[in-house]
Amino acid sequence: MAEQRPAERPPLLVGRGVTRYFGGVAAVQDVDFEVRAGEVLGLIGPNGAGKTTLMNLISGLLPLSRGDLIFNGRSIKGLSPWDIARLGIARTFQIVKPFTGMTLRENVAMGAMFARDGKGVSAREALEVAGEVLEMVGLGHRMNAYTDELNIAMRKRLELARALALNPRLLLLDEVMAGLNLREVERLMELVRSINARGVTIIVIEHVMKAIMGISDRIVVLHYGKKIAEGTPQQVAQDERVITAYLGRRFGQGKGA
Amino acid sequence: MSASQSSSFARRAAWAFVALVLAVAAVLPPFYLSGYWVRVITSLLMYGALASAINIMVGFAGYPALGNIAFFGVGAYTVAVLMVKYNVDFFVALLAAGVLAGLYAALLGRAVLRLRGAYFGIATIGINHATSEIVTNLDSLTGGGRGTIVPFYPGGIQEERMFFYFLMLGLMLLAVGTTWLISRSRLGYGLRALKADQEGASVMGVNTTRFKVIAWTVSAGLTGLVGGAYAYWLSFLEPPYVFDITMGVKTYIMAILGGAGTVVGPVLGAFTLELLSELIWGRFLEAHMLVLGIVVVLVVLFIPQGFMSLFAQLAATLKRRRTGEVRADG
Repeated sequence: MAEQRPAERPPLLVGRGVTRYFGGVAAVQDVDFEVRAGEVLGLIGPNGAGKTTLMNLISGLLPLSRGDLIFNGRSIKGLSPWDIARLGIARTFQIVKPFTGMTLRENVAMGAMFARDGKGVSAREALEVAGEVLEMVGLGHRMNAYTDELNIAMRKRLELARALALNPRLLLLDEVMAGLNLREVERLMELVRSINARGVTIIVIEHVMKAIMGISDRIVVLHYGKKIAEGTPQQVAQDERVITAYLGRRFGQGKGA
Repeated sequence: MSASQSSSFARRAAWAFVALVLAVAAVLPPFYLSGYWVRVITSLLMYGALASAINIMVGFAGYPALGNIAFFGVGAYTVAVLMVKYNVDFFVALLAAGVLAGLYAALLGRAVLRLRGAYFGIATIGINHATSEIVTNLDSLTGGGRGTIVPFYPGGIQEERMFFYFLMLGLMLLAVGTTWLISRSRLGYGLRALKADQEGASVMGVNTTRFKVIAWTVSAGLTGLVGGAYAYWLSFLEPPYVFDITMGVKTYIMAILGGAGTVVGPVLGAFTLELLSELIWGRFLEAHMLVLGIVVVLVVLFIPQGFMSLFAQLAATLKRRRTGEVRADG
């Protein structure tokens, strides 16, 4: 409440009791969260905590078992992935999904062709927009290359470019920095910050702690599908439950003593 | 700058010349060739159309529609029944054949297109078989297993030859033109994207369900048109003639051979394979299938991307050599 900027803005996405079962297992259970317009929300938690499942629920790839998701004042529960994309929610995948057999430019043009403002954007116009976006993420020189000619860092950038071409209001980044070296991570952090500075709200999943601490305004911590903590990066880093979840009970309790 | 402009003008002129030569080459045969060769080329054109039609599913959407020939049969029997039972004019019947085959695919698509890969392929083979059985059992309407005689083309033998030649040529151009339009449209991009990754395409705003259904509807509609034309050409129909899975697989191979997902590749593949098949058929009646099988194996081993990929490689090599020369000059 003391923070000024993002806290005063209205929430762009609200999750209420978000739940998803796989058979009898709750991958995500009764998670309440808010993403405020213009902020970067970090999503962390040990492996299998339900972070990617939560992202799949937001982007419509999985149906909710229970609960509701409200984007920009409207429930997106039960909408198809393409409907959600056109409302302005874009995402990247942890395991990159380039469109093989298409050039980088064509890959990115897909976003512009079917995007939020994409009604009536022809393939040709979309290809032009794609060129600009590729320049922005630093792939302008490889525009006509095919996706199988790219290294992993470039593929991650391509994922990002494709999502950006949708002209999203909310961008979901699922481990865009995994597998990159330190210099690449720093460059990508800078890029994410500049995207956020343009007014795009971002939810980011990341295991690279330095990165997530550096770019998030707030962080939500998931553990076994439940939200166990929430707050600024500093608050979360000192939270006993978080340390226990990551390092085990001995370290968590030892902290206070 | 001006150099590149003049070279683009030269390229355009070259294309115009090629187009002119092709147009002349397409129109001349029925006037000069013997009846046998006109018939052979008419069948090449028919396969060109069928291979283009199946390419929309196989090459663009990435769905192995092995049993797409079912729509050929639906089209053929639509024309037969309308002409025989209801005295409908051929062209009206032909239009109905395309529409009906397309609708049939649209209806089936919602359910069957949930299957992916080989499962979808197998389902389409099942559809072909089931449709064939239905047609056989609608005895009073279709003539069933005894077959049905479609009215003959009213006119002389030379005139008839011309008619079917230009009919098949027109249908092939329609199929290629449709493919060209798709390749440049949002539909084409959406299909190629969902071929690579359906989840990826869907979060990019592609309505994957709708796109797949549209693609199959178009593919089936074109196939149905060709089937309708074939019924009139053949003038005697039996279910096994037109619900022939071997024929379906052949069009599939043609599309792959020429270059799945390209615009003119399937036509090249169809011409090559059908001409080859015609030559072999004449000489070795028994070994015919064996030779075709060997051709398929060789293609899969050596040019899995089809003929068009060879041209693309050649063009890339030439370009590299040319820019290399420019650099050496500068």
